[in-house]
Amino acid sequence: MNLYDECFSGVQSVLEQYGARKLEYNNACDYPEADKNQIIFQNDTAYELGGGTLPAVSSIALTDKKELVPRDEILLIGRDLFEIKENSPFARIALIRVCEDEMGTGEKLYATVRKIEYARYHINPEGYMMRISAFTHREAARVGKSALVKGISFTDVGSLFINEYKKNQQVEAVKLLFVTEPDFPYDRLEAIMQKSEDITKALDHIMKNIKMDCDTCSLKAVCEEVEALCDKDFPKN
Amino acid sequence: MANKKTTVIAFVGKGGVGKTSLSALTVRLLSERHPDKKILAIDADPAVGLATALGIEAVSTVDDIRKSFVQTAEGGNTNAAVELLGEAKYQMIDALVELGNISFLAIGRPESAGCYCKVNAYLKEIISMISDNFDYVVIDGEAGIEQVNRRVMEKVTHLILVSDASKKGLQVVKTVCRVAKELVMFEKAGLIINRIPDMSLVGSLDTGGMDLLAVIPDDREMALNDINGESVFDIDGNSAILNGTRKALEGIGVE
Repeated sequence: MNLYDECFSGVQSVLEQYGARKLEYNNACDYPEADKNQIIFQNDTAYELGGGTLPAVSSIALTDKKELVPRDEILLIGRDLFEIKENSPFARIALIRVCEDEMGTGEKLYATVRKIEYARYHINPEGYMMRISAFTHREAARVGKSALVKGISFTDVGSLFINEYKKNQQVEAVKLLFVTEPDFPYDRLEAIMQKSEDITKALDHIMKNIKMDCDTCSLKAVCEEVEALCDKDFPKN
Repeated sequence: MANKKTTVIAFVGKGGVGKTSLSALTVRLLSERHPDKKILAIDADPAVGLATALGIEAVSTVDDIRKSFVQTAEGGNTNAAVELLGEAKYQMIDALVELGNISFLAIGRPESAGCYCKVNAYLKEIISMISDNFDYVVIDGEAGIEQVNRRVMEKVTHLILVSDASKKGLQVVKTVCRVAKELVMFEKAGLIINRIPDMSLVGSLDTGGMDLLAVIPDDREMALNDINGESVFDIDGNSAILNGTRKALEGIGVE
């Protein structure tokens, strides 16, 4: 599965340039989860990650290569949740190794990619309210004052994320990257990961088999690339 | 909070009888009485007068969110239900204006032509979800309970019907009460007669057997407050309308 390889190399180059510290991943994480309708009000908010006009980048990319995602791990560039004192820019990137045989083809492939992505809607760490916009591709988070008292960390939040991703039988390992460093090229990371979203969208686009004028379609270049990769990854007999 | 029951108080009645003032005063009384509780004021009246009465500036309305959804859908961007719900929650929280322990949400103008049931259902779901996070929800309703039921939420715990002394006003609340019994789940209901020009008229009014919670005289101070565009927090604590609201809340069992 080579579809997202360019995203992996792009993220890898950022990691090499900026360095990331490894946090412990706990597959038995017992950090409490809140009710799915948790709201953290402004008065109860310690700070926001990616709030207002600050960067709030979020994306996933998939591979089947073990060398790209050898194990479950949480990486952090910048300060941890309990170290942050004010609103900060934010990025959360999930690099996921999947079992290619389980991914399916055609519509099933698209649906599986989205299902894995939707794991983010199913976790609600207590005192960590995600504000996800699929329209603007932003994922901000409010962190509650009470959560800081409890010592919330990216180890807790990251472990819950990885555990949720792994509820999908196709997911074998997850490398989860959090970024809170103020001096970081979020726009560059966003551009790299926009490609991932374009690829996933193009998968759906191709499968819908809509008759239209490809010469005027904004997804033409991505479509052709994805189509070529699909042919390579999933050759027709 | 999720396991705790939210008290949902809705004010309904014909236009111009003072629903907005009474809703705003209720928010004030609850806020003063329970500084540690969270109160959500929902303006379901298209005129969006509750914001002014509370001294709040509404940034966007639920209808703005709905319009942006419809535009996105019409633009060919089809999103999964989970994404739409996430989006609605995101935008709705942005639309909430917070002022101390009070939050404010404006519904905006009624739906325009066209069926967007799916979008409306999502939004209603989100409003109910948000409401669950509050101890009290006060709704300044439109002139009909059907709209409250259809557009805002399924369940109202305390339904307060508001009328002036006019025959037309009382007829409207009787109709609303009858419709509400069929459409809306509520635990208690009662009537406030507001802006009565002469208290000696009270005995002669046909309230249709509804539980009369309070009769409030035409309050000059409230009228001046309205004219000056001031908030209900500027109203004197012993004014007739504030005392009447206090009495009505006690009468209907809102602590």
